[in-house]
Amino acid sequence: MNNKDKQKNPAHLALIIRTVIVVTGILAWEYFANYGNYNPIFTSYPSEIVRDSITFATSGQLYRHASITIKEVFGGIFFGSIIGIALATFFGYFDFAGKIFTPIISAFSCIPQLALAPIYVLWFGLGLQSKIFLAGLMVFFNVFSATYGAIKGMDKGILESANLLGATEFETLRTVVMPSCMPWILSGLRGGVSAGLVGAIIGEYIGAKGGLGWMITYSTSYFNISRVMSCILVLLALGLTMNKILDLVERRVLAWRTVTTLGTEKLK
Amino acid sequence: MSYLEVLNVCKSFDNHRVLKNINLSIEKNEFVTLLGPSGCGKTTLLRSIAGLNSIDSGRIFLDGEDITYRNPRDRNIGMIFQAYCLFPTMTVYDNVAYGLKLKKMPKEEIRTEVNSVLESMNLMDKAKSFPAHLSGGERQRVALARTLVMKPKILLLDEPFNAIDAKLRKSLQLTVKDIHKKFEMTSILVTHDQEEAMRMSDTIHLFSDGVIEQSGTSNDLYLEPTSEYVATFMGNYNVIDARDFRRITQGRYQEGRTVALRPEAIELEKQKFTDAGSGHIFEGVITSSVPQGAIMRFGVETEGVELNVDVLVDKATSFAIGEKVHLRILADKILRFDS
Repeated sequence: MNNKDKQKNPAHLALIIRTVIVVTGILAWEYFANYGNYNPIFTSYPSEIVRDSITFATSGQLYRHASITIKEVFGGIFFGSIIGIALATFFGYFDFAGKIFTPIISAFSCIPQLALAPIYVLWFGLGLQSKIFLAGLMVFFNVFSATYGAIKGMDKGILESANLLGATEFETLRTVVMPSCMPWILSGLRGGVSAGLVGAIIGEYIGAKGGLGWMITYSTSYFNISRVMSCILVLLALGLTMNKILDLVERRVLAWRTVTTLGTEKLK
Repeated sequence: MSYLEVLNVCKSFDNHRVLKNINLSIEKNEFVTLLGPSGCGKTTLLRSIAGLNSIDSGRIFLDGEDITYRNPRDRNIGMIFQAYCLFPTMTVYDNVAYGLKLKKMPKEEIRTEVNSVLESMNLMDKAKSFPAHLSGGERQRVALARTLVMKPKILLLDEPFNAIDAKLRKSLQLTVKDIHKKFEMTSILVTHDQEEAMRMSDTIHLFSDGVIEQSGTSNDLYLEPTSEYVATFMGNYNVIDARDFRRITQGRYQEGRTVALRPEAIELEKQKFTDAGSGHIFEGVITSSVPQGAIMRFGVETEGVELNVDVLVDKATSFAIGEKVHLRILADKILRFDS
């Protein structure tokens, strides 16, 4: 067996074990819901969820509600990350402003934003804005703290090197600071994606005219658990897709990084 | 006016005076070392020359131009940092090309310049590697290449050999010295390692607590230290209270407050010296021996004073710890400090 095969094997093995666990879980769920002694009205079951998903998709409802949620999530990620990165950079450069505002922002981030969600709905109405605001705020706290920490932790010598080689402050920011901070920004974005999804869905729970969150509350009130599960499947797919996109971006942007594991090599 | 003139430069941090009226002249193509212990102000002076520190008073002239208040990016000064400070997100090629790209030089010209300097540093095969994948020595050569490609007026080296193992350090010191000659550079090295300073420099400025204690060639500082501090820092001198030395020489030596004896200037023999010459002879007992490469450093106790004596290693095998030995020091090898 060559070295490449040896390296591949653990990954293949992990994939096989993972698949077996998930498939076994689904089969057990299906079996106990149909032949067990509990009422599946509270959980539905896989074959029923698949049937409902097909109906949900072919009726055009899935597209209508998913597009609302996606708009809210992407709007939140877009505004939250842009404002988070911009403010973190500003406070990174203007230390005095950072000392004034960063503790205020940290204090705000400690307030559970979901507790304020009804107020945001009152301020911005039942439409997209209130959910984009809530999702954006949740993304902002993640991205801001990650970016600010990364900028404050930059090696001063690297900035001085750029300056001595002829870079202005803006050129240093663009060519040295931002690329160096990318691992932390991406990690903040990863947290932000989950937070954005939560923000959008909770916003829809509280007051909306549509969206997957709205559909979940609506279906729950009619005991349509299959529809709830269909919506959750769509949210799962959405979250996984966004994480996959971040993986691809990470692989491309962070090629310079050495990846390490905490384990030590076993001696034979 | 010299190529680099530092005139009456003072700098304080939080009311602590780090540079006290420093004056320094460096000629073109000279290799100068700022030597001294940690916290003596040598790095602050280097950073002030680069423009990375402001100064409280004084003036700095480079190539006839007053650069005291000029932004670092407009000084055309190259600097190698202790940690090299390569851009981690860029390949070796992009690190070296960085400054030229900022100058908006045509791409083809950049490629020619970068390849030429990478070639001269034996880094062509590493052009596409990222700094994280390079060894310490390779990183240092990239840092040098990145600086040299800009053709700086002066090259500043801030303790660049600290993080490197002893063997590689010597080879990199030679590389830097070769580059200094090949590129006809003017270079300033900051170090706390006296051997490194002596190996590399045309001129050494020895710092002590924000002032230049003594300047000169390595021989000047080693053979003719003007103070006890210089003697101690440069040569592992035996610095002895004059009263102790009077006791060792049985009252024959009467001058000064302290005396300094270089370890290799003291002669060590098994047999009694027949002639004191122009100096002094005395007895002692060997208490320790420490190998130092080509020489052996013996600790010899005489009249309650412990002296270090260096002997070539092939002769040293005949001495044993606890053995009674005879020592001689010639008068012209005794340095006297009155204050």
